[in-house]
Amino acid sequence: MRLTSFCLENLLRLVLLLAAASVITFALVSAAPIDPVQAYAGPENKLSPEQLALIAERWGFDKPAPERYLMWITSLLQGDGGISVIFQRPVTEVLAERASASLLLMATSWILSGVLGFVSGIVCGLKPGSLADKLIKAVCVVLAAAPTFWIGLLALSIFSVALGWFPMGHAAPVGLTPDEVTISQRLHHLFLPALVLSVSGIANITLQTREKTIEIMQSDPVVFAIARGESKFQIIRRHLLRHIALPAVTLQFASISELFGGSVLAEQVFSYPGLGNATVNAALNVDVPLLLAIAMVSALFVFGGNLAANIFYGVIDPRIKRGYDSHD
Amino acid sequence: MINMRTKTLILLSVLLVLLLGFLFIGISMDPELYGSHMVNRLKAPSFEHFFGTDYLGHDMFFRTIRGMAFSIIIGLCACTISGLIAIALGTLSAVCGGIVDRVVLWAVDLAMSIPHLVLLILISFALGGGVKGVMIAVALTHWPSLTRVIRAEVLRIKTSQFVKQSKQFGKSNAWIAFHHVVPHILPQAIVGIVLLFPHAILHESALTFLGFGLPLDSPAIGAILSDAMKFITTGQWWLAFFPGLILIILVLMLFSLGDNIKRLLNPQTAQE
Amino acid sequence: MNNHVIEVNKLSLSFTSYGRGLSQISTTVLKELSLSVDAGEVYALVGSSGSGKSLLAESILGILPKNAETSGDISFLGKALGVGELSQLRGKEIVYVPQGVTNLDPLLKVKPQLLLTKEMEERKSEAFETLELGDEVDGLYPFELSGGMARRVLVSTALLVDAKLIVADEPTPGMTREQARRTLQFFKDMARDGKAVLLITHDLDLALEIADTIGVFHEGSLVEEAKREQFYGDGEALKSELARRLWRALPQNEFTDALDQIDTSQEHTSLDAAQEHILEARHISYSYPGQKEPVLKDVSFSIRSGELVGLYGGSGTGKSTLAQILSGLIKASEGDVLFDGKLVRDMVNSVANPVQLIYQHPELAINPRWRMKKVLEEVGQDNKDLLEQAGIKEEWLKRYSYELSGGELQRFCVVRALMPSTKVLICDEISTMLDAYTQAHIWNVLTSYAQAHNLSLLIISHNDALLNKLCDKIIKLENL
Repeated sequence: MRLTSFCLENLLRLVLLLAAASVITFALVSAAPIDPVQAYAGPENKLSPEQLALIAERWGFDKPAPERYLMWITSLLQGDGGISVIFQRPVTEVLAERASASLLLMATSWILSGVLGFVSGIVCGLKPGSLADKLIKAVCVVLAAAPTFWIGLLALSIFSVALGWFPMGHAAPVGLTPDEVTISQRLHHLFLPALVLSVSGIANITLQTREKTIEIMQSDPVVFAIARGESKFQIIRRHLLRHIALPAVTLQFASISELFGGSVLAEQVFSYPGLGNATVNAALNVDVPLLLAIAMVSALFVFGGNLAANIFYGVIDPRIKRGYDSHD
Repeated sequence: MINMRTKTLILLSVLLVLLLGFLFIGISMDPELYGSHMVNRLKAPSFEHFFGTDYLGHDMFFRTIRGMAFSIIIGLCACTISGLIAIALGTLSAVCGGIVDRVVLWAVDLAMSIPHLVLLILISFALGGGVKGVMIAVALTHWPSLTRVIRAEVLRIKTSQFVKQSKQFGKSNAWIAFHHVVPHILPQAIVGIVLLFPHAILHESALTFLGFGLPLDSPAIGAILSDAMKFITTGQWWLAFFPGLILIILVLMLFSLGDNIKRLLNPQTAQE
Repeated sequence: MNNHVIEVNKLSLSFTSYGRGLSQISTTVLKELSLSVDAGEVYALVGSSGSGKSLLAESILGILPKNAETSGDISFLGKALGVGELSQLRGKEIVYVPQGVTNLDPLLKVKPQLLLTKEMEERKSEAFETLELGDEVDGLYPFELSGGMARRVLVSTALLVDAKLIVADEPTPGMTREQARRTLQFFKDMARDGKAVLLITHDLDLALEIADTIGVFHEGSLVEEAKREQFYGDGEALKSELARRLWRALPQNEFTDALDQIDTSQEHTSLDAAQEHILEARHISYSYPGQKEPVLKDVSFSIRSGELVGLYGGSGTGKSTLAQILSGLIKASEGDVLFDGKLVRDMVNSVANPVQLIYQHPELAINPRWRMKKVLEEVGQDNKDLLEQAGIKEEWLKRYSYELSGGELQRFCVVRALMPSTKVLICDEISTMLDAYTQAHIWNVLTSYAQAHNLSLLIISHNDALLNKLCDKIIKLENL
């Protein structure tokens, strides 16, 4: 009962945020110093003023901003995002195609960074100060400071150019139609971008899990467990994992916002045809309908991540599960 | 074993020299130095050209310095503007509480509800791109997490027993703010602002890498790396390697400076 | 032939840390400490809190922090305890009952937390019966337990195995005498079953109730080791001056601290029944935000000028909340607190409140970024005599709070609260964690000041002996 109301409350809060985000996105894009009609018609159109006026009327460019916003948001909610200027196809179609490619990339690196980061963090935290710990920690500190696109460039020059292990980019070999691509070809193209995208996540999760592990291993419950004769294995299973899983999973869900940002950069480096790549193209080529829609999709991603994190916390943490309010 | 105070001092001076050096040399540099010299195209790193040259014969070493100067200016703007916003909102939120607190927290959540890079792109788009777009976008979007930190800190001090005691001793709120709260918050704010710097630089380079703001052959770290991408296939690795390395070194130093200051300003770890 | 279960021989322990500049500082906490406990014996190690006596327990169990260095040896049933032996004995032959409820894992329910092996299941039911814990406790998380229940759950871990040695570290903080007595009885029962019990406590009074042998711990070593029977009269059977002082400092004895002989036993200035009530609590009720059950329900009482009033109650009775309501820091859900006919709440933040409050934990009540000099300057306290009486040394003024012990800090809090404008002073468990000697010293300072300045004291405590000694009247705060 408490859990349900907890979830509903979170959902409501997040839907409100999403609505506000849509207003801000729309306001920002509308504020751009561009002629929306020309932008909509495309840069090299030879349309007559009458035709342009028709476009303006059709999309409400002659109406005040709040009205335009309502038009946009209602049609978006009905699944109509307009026509993309660059692709000359419905925005939703472009999104669906791009999102599936991006989802694959992001999900792979999300899991990769979560698992690798968690494991290496525990390895470091159990033996702080050891050689392995010092090494992994140093690498992670550097990787956390390195921009994703630079790591992408390095990975390309080492693994693709110098060693020739992986292709130079794209989601599949150039020139093949989607149904000609094999799964192994897909994975081969996916590997390097996914690895690059997961690097900063791995570094952050490792460092955070390491700190937390050290803290937990020195905490009162663990010291007491040692005194009660629990074995190292028992301590890890009974105490450590429970305590570090919570913050790690929370961080992992909260990092979806950064993951999306990283995917924009990684996709740019590897010419990977996903949402991030589309974001950059839409913004650089003034494709307003596409840019608006992608911004909303990205907010949905963050929204989903936050919701999942909150619910996860509610399910796992007994203090929330039992509806306990702490007071001092 | 050098103690932390000395280490931080050394780090701080090296960093200051580097920052000021990049800034001063980068701004006052003879454009000839990073200009195009077609005789020197695509040279590998050597003593003549530390970082090699690109396809237009730009000396990458000088181009990098010029680019770092630009990054640093943007970083400074972001620190000042986002830092001030964070301090103002965080303090306001904690002191006023109630509806003000809710509004501020909601604004923080809202600003974080769109991926940071997408938000940067949107703002830059709204401002019509260009250097101005990049600068304003980066400067205006780095406040949310620091706002939370400052709010939490002010709240912690505000509800502490020693502040309750101070109230009992008849001290006014202004006295308490000045004697108890500010000395606690200031170090936190300084650390937060120092740590904003590297984030801002990284975001600036990401934006310019994606092609927002500056023409591709202009000397900005992101633009340099984006330019270098075209030459990866032909094996000119140095075009990307060195400029990126310099960026990372600067970012790492800023991160560790922030961490060290944090520990020094805490009387309990200051003696380590 | 000795039949010691545990024997500690010349145990020294020090911590290394970095000092100012490049120097390394080594702090010695235990100095050649030797003691032994036999089967069937309860041995109590008594010393002030924060003095490092808990480290003896941690040494025996091999759970010391990493930067601790030890020398000397510990043997168990005649065999030296090494790392290898310890991992076999811990939780089987030697059990440990730790100090705080923070030792329970907050994410594990009680039952899975307690049971490490199948065999423990049966013993657990027995243990719960002995400790009067219901089966419903099994499914509760530690945060759902009351303080007393959590403590009994900790004690139950000692009953789950058939150990030969039980090491208990401060098992009774925050309990009323009665609760503490009952808890300690469990340990006494264990000793009667032929086990050796090593009890570590700051409370000499409690130690005397159950221990056979008492070791007085001071600055890293034992200054006295005596049988319980040797504590009588003026302590003439005790060898060391310090042990005698501790004994005499107990509230039921002379309650003196020997530094200066402030006489509190004399008849208190006759309290005129007609003397005005200066602090008045009218029908105070309070419930925590978000909770329906009020923690305080319709509490009313009043204090006369110069009166010493005790407020008695165990943990969880809302004592601390009441203290904050009385001093105007928290608004009561219902009811008012009046000082001299004016609302106390209105005085906070504007004038030096005539109703002052001293908290249990001095380290929280002092700004950690301030040197002690500034702490006193905040209230303009420069009464040299008072500082001297409270035993505050000149050099402490230059230190930060984390460089002083709890007892030393509490002296500052006491002196700070004794402003000329203070008329009522609320003392919320201010001496709970202090050793008997420091405790007596602080109360002597407070009571003599109160007498000289016609100050009223409201003393909140779970220690009835203390309240009986100090107070003109005692109000019992029943658990509502």
